[in-house]
Amino acid sequence: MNARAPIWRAVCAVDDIPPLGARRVARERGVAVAVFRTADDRVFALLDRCPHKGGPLSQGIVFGEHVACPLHNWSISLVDGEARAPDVGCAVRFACKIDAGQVYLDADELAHRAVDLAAPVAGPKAGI
Amino acid sequence: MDKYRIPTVKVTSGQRIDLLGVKKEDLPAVWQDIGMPSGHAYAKALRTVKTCVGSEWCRFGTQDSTQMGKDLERALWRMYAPHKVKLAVSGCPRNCAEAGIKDVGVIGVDSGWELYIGGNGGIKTEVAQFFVKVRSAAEVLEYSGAFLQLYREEGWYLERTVHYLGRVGMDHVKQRVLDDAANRQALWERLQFALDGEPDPWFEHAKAQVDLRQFAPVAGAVVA
Repeated sequence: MNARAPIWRAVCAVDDIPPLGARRVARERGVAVAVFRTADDRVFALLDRCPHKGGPLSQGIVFGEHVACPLHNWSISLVDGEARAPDVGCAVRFACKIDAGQVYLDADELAHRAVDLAAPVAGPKAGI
Repeated sequence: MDKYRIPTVKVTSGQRIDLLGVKKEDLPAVWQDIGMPSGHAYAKALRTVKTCVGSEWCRFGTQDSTQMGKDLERALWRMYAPHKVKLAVSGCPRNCAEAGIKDVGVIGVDSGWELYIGGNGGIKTEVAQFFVKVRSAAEVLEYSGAFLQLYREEGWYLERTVHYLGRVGMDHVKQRVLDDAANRQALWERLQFALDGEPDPWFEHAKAQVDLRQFAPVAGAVVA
């Protein structure tokens, strides 16, 4: 799909992410990127926005290769972003790698991918 | 409210104060500024102890339900459990505090207090079952505490008291808490032992093993 080589940018150390937890990488535009760490210290990155109602996946519970969205408990695959059946939807995925204990994301994706998607708004201004 | 631009403040039916719309990043600082204990609004723990105004102010009140509620809350706050735990104390059988749909409902009567357990106001409303009648406020604490400790020890994760009761049966609970006084006291003592020194997660982060990194994005991570 995308032939160009990633422009890897270090965002944090693996140890900055709690095991079975996540950290957010804020972006200049668009919703933050959630970087997850599994029990066996692999790292995955998804847009911090559930495909269901926009819940903050970074605040969810990580188990195996999935994260449970804190809003309605959808199980989202960290590997491909797909919701586990019977739910249907796909979170935006970001390329991610570990090199010498550092976590790298693709700078081009950080700058451009899914910047048009907004975080959900709660409260009086949310509308129906 | 102005300092952290908190959009909505609400007083809840359980006499807690809701601050709605606080940014997660601001939460540790908000708690420091408030300096009050947490109501554990989202925890699998003791939630609210709802009360009516009781005999101090109500013409029908037979017992000081507000004081009883405060005593229960002070005795049980920070109590983690298999699922959330809600209490209510009404000063008379008119039951303004809706004790009949709480995990432990206490109703004041002329001769003492009636305890009801296993109520639930959720998707399927369940009326609490009559458990026991006691004479004194101290007994309310001991019997309620002993039941809750039994539930803490035997309940499954995510099992509310109504489902726990349905699984083990009221007779089982009555045997352990009512018929066996020594066991009741032992349960109540174990609960007090467990709660002694239990840290407030918003003020004793390290002791409560709260990872504060969850409140902040990764350092210097605003990526252009």
